[in-house]
Amino acid sequence: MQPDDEVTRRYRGMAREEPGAAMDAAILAASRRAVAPSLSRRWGAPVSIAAVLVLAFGLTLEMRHEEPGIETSLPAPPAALPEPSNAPATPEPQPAAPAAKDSASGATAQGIAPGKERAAREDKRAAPARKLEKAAQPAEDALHRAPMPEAREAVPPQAPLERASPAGEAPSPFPAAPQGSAAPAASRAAPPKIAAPIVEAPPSAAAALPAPPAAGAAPLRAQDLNAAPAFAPRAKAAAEAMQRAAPAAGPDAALRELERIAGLRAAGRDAEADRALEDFRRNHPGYRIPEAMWERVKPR
Amino acid sequence: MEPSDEALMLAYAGGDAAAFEALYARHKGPVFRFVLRSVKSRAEADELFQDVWMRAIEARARYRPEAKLTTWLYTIAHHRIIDHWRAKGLAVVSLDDEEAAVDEPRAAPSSEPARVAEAADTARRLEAAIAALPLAQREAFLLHHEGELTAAQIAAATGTNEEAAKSRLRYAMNKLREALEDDAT
Repeated sequence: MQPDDEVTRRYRGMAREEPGAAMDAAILAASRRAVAPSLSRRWGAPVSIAAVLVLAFGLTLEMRHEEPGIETSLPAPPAALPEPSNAPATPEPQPAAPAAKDSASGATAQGIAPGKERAAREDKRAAPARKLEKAAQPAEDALHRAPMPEAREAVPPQAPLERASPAGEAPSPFPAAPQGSAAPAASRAAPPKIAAPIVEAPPSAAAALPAPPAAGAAPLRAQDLNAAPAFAPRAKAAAEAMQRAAPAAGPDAALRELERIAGLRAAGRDAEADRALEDFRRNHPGYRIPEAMWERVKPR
Repeated sequence: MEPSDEALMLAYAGGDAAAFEALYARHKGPVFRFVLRSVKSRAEADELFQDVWMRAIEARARYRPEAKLTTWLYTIAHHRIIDHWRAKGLAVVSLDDEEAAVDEPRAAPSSEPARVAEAADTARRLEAAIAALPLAQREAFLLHHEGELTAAQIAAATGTNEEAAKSRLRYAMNKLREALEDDAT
């Protein structure tokens, strides 16, 4: 090739066409747009990382708050078992087991699901009650085995339970949950009260009462009732009703009163005996008079 | 010392918009004239010129500095012009036989180099002579005179071998020289 060729020289001298200014502007603008960092490109990664961190933190907090709920969703049926398993230890398995189940299912329905930890905690709390139960068991056995002709005759073995839930004037408003395991355990937890005056005082009233001291298991029940607000008013009303049902002086006074009425009958003072009997029924509305005693005090 | 074309293109691919402005300022005229004399119409030239640069912008990440930037840029332009001619239904280039390679429509009789030489303005006659060249020869001439590409680079840009590129360029120069000589006589 010849650089200084005539053709080349003449070509160089030709008009120097250029693109228009608008074309220049359009192309340069396009070139800038192509490399300009867009908002999403600039902030995409940091915003994504921040969002993931916030979500993870929130989920962690949420899981901490809802830990019991998460536990219940998995092992709910096995976790509810520990309470019923305590029930057979009581001497009255028939009413106690359903009551325990009711309370357990009631607690679950209230959202207080008993998880494994909770069951273990309840087990720990119920342990003293079971110990007291065991301690009281010989006393109760002794009570049944003791040669107490009068008491045995006057109070049949089934009497305590029958009287504990009379369907008459003072029906027990307890749904049997507190009585099933806690109340008997508590009543047996005070052996001297039962064993010492056993001749004069049949254990019926003591067993029927909700046992305010509620040794061992009582705090647990109170906590459960607090946790299940629906039970709290009912429990309070039941306790009040039971207190109303029980005379201030207790069963000893009732027996003494009946003996007094029997004495009046024997002395032929029937009018006084009738009035005394009416007073007795007013004062002891839920008291079931044994047959032998009734024969002695009934109106003539 | 001004940065090379290749360095500017790499800088632009890395996000430096100013590098592209410098690159564009250097090459916009030659590329525009290459396109303009290839299509013979300002409107078509504008459209193709813009397409060439847009393709260069889009392909910036694929640019490798092993190739000279002008070779890369005129390759894009060449392909765009071929597409343009194909869209118009015209066969363009045959690579094997140089004489038979020119399948494009021959210039009209009024634009034959002999007739162009009769024009009063030499520049206009040269321009007409260039326009009358077969496409492959005209392309080789323009790539050499506007893009300052060597025969090897022309071959790379147009997808042919170096000998064919040299041959096309030689034919084009001879024809244009003849056209100018006719004008002189």
